[in-house]
Amino acid sequence: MNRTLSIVAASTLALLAAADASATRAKNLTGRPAVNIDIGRGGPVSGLGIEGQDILAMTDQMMRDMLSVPELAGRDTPPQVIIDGENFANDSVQRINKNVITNRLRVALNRAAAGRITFVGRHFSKMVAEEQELKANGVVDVGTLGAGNGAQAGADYRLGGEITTQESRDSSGMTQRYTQITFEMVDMRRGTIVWSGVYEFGRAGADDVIYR
Amino acid sequence: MFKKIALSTVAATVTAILAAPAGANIGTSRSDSAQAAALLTAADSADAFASDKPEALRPLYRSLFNDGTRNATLNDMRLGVAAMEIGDYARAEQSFDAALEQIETIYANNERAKQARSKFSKEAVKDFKGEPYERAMAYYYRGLLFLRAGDYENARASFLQGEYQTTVGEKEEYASSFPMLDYLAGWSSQCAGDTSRAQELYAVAQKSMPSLRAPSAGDNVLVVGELGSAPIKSAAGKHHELLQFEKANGDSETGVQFQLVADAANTALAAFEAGSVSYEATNRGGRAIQSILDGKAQFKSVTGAIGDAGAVIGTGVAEVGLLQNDSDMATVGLAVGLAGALFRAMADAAKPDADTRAWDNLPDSVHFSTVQRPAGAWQVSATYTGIEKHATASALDAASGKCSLVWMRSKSALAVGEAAPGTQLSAKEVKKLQKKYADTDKAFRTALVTRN
Repeated sequence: MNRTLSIVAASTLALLAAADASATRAKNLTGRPAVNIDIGRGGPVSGLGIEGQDILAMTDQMMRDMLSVPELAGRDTPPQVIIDGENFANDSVQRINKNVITNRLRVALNRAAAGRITFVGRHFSKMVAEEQELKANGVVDVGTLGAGNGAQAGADYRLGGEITTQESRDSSGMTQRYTQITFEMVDMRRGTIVWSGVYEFGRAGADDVIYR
Repeated sequence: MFKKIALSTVAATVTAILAAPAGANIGTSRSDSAQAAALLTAADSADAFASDKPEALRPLYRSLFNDGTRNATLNDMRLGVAAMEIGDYARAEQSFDAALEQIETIYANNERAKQARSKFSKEAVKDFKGEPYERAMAYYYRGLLFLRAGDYENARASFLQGEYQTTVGEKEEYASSFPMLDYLAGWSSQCAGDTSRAQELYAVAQKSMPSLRAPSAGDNVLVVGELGSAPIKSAAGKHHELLQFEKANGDSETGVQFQLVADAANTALAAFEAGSVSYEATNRGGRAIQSILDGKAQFKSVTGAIGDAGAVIGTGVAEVGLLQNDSDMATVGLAVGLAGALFRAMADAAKPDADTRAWDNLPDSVHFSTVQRPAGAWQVSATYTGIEKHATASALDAASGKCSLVWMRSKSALAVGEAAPGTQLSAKEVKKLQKKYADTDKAFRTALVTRN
């Protein structure tokens, strides 16, 4: 009888132990206060697309590369260059503000070039034209630099580029995305490409099965 | 004598467990007046949170606040469409951006997802992300908003990512599973001046849906007409473990006719059905989670059967033992009965129910027409066949961008309840979840206040 009771008890306990507990401990039970994160590394939230650390890495890489090009950073007279998102196309599956990339590239390059390149703020052209008109009409004085001849700076070179992706997935739920960002500096007289750069990466991940 | 009292006590315990209502938790639950007070405070805060929002959107904002992170994506989707209807495009963009951020986050090692897979928790405890057709439609609406703003590249990205949500394929090359979105990606490319990409995407769309008509090269107005009601989700099977989708009942609209109303002349536009949301829902293919839900249902059935048999056998053996004054037999009988009662309790606690939460202000089908923008003032009128409804709308974009978008619906996106349908959690289960994730939801609500 004792042996029978022992078998019944052991079987019941084994089944109870095998059953999932309904009250699991959750991570982040208390939430997390906002903290600074290292933007050069992956943050706590991740997906398959371009993230902060990619923008840092690609702009630093392109900047170093551009500074080694004689036409851009080795001329006696600094060339006038436009770097903005106007001709930077997003042909990917990721929604992105392209200015995040081109703004950082322009600012980083401007600082590192230390006068070897002159950057044209074409995105400020309307602002400049309005100020020129005020000066020309005598509404404001000419400041310390003078009124100029009314012509804004033209560009010797202008940045173009494209973001493209290739995505695939399999029946196990794993999704893989290849992202390619190309940068090209174009000679604005002849349309030739004087410099090219590419930044590419691949990421893969799978959602919990409950979301597939 | 003492042994008889002890045996009777165990018998009473077994009887009590067997008599416990179905669904009783194995563990104990404590009433918490402080927690109840906190929940009341949350409801008051929901009213305060919604009070400065547009009146038509307040019920949905209350729902967003009250439901917390579990239904955040669902409530943001519903809010987004409703905000579009009242012309509050900034709010609509904000809502869809929040929803898409969650959709794009990879939920790996997520505690709520793990809990939802547990035998003793319903699938509905997970944070809602939507079925593939719902995720695709979130991208669709965000894409329309980008079109309205003239951001054609991000519009194209949205439509393409939406189409990927419905793709379940093993090969590199695949036919479009939601051709409407490839068509819209093509339209975005055409508006952006990328003619070759536009033609390529129209061809992909037409390969899967030959009835889609590519726009003429000079067309720069897209008219979108949404008809009918959202697909319905239901849970079938012995233990409600099988998620099913069906077309909504009761829709009478069968089609739409567009007319361009301009200073120069009125012109009938050729409308065509571009996409069927109910088709996408009902042709989803198998869900990976279904095998887990089937396993839960099988566990529930098997342990329930063992429990019932154990109780019957154990009680019978115990009764014989008591009648024959055989304490050993009675003890064995009671032990078997107790084990049976525990199995029964586990069966009752198992929760294989499929998650039927659904995005309820989606349409049933989407119809397109394209035309070249006329000179002067113009509008588009729509006549919905089957319901005798007539409406007129202007382009969503006030500025004269490269392309214009007209968006119309046969049913109002505001004609939905405050709470999203399909939440099968009981009030007790909701309260338990809210208690467990109270701090996470508090952080979510704090961020909400900042967002809006």
